[in-house]
Parts: sequence; C-alpha cells; structure tokens
Amino acid sequence: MFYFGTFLSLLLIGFFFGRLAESRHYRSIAEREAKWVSLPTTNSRNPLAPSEQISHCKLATGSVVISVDYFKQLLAGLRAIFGGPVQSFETLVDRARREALLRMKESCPSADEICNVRIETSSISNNSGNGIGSVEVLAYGTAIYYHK
Amino acid sequence: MARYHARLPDTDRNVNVSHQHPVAEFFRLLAGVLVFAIGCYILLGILVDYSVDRLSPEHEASLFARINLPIADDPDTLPQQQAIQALVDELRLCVDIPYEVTVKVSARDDINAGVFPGGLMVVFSGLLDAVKSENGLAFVLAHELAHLKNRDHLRAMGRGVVLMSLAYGATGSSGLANSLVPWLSELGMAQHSQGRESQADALALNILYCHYGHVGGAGELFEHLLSKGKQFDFTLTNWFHSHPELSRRLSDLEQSVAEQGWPREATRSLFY
Repeated sequence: MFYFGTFLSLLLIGFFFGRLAESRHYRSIAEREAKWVSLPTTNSRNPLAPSEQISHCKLATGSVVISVDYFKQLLAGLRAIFGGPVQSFETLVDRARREALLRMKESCPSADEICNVRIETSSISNNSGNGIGSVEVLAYGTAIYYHK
Repeated sequence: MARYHARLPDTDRNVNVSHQHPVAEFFRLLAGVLVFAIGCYILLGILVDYSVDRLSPEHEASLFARINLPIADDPDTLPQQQAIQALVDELRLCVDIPYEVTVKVSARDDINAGVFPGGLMVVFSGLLDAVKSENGLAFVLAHELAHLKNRDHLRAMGRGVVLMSLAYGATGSSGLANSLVPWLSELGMAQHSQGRESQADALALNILYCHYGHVGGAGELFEHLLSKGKQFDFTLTNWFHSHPELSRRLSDLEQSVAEQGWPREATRSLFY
C-alpha cells in the first residue's frame, strides 16, 4: 500500500504542477510572441529585401530543454499499448518549439530579420530507455542587419 | 519578391495539439487496460482450473518431488512429527489421495499449517500448542488434506503466475510492477481463495466424520482464535483476506453439521 500511495502522490504532483507550469509557460509564450512579431522570421534561403544593402549577419540560436512530468509519462505509457496520438507530449513539443524560436529572436534583438530558420528536436532520457525524460529543441537561423 | 505578413499563431485554437482533457483520456485508457487485464485473468483462470483438473496426482507427485527441497527433521519435534504423520496417514484413507503425504513439523509460533504440491505438509509448532484435542488437530490436518484433494495449491500457483504476468506485461519490468504485484495477487486471489477455503472446510468435516464417527472438536481452533480476539469484523478488509472470517467459518461448520445430522461426542486428548 505504501508504494501505491507513493505512486498516487507522484501522479497527483505531476498532474497539478505540470498543468500549472504548462499554463504559465503558454501565457509567457503568448506575451512574448506578441512582443516579437515585428521581427520577420522565415525559413526561406533568401532575405526578404534582397535589394537592400546588408551590413552584417550572424548565426542566431535559441534552445530550450523541457521535461515531462510523471502524469504525462504515465499517459504516454498507456498510449504505447493502444497507439494513437500521444496528446500529453504534443503540448510539450509545441511549447518547446515556440520557446526555442522566441529565444532565437531574443538572442539578436536589433536584427532586421532572421532567415533560413531550422528547428531540431532531440530527446534526453534520464532513465535507461524508460521513456523520454526531457525534450530539447534548438532553433537556429541567420540574423541579418541592413545598412541604416 | 514575396510579401511577408507578420502573424501571431492562433491563440484560440492551437492546431498542433489535441483538445481532449488529459484526465478523461487517462481514465479511458486505464479502463481499457483494466477491462483487458480482468478479461485475461478470468479466461486464464478458467484455463488453470481446466488443466489442474486434468493433471493426474501421480504426475503431480513426480513433477514436484524433484522441486521440493528436503526439510531436515528437527530432533526436538521428531516424536510429534512421527505421531502426526501416523494420524495423517489414517486420515488419508478417508479422502483418497493417491500419493504419499509427508509431514514436517517446523518450530515456529505461527498457528498454521500448509501444503505444497507433491504432498508436503508443514505443521507449525504454534498450531500444536493452540489445539486442545486430537479431534481439533485432526480437523486442521483434514482441512489441509482437502486442499490437496481439491488441488487448490496448484490453482493458487497457476493464478499467481497469471497475475504476475499481467502486471509485468502492463507496466514493464519497472519498480512499479514489483510493488503492485503482491497487492494485485492478494486482491485477485482472495475471492477465489475464500471459496476454496469454504470447500476445504466442508470436505474436512466429512473426513473427520469418516475417521472418528462424529464431528466433536471440529471448530475448536476457530473458537480458540476468536476468543483470543484474532477476528477483525470489518467487512471491507475482509475482501482482501485469503480465508473467510472466523465467525463465518464457524457458522458454516454449524450449518453443515446440522444439515448432515452428524453427532458430536467427546474428543480424544492430545497424544503429544
């Protein structure tokens, strides 16, 4: 009964704090996306204004590591039996991707645009193959500064 | 040149996530797993019963003779052991168990006795101190012989294996499975086990009548344990016990005696 109690407590902690962290993160993301919307970010290989003179450019990167909580992991484990969309990980990856893009923008605040944006995702397992521990997302692109 | 439009992602409906409530999803998936596991358990339980009924006692004896570790005879309890062996051999005639039943006395305070596949019966010295008459002891030994006759030990073993496999299959070989398995086994086997215990009690009563010609002293051990306050009358915890509660066992015994019209006479005193 002791182990079951521990399991249940971990589950409840994971659920409540996980949901709390997620909603707070989404609020922060929405706020910052609104703030940074004016910095054009594309994944095309050419700058948006090719006729303009480019002063300098540099590599802009943004990365973030977000962990799953106990509840998400259990849900994913149950999904592994039946198959189907793993909803608990969808929000995780969505948040991580958007956060990484925002951090990339924040790394070059005075840039005129960022082009050739790529996103890479990798998983960091903390147990030996016992499900995904955390997900790391890296967003990188070329930040371009035009002559003023 | 392409026109660029600055755009915020849809805040009202995020297309990259599903919009089911995670708790609802959790319970749905859990219900699916439980239904499947319970279905498997019931089905495999039927299979276990089917195979046990078809395993001949001779087969069982040869199968488990090699597995059972020989327990050394304790010189302190050897005379008691030999006397009890003689009693068990006599009781065996009333119940038709075709293989040898070997009795070993173990010097522990537990008021208990148990049987193992292949015909090994272990009696704890705590039991020997608790009974007051030969008939009382004979009832307990007859109860264990009844388990052997009904092949209950094999059924319990088979069900235990099924439950363990289900627990490991669902959770993977994680610590969670290890901790849940004993709990699940108790729950899963308790109801089945209580039914078998009642049947064993009824058959033991038959054996007692067959051997002594009366059923005096049958419920002696239960009465003794009840008087010592070893009975917990909470019906909820009773669900988990492998044996029915003591007062229920006593009343069932009374009922059987009344139905069969068996007499109760004076009991014989203990021989050790």
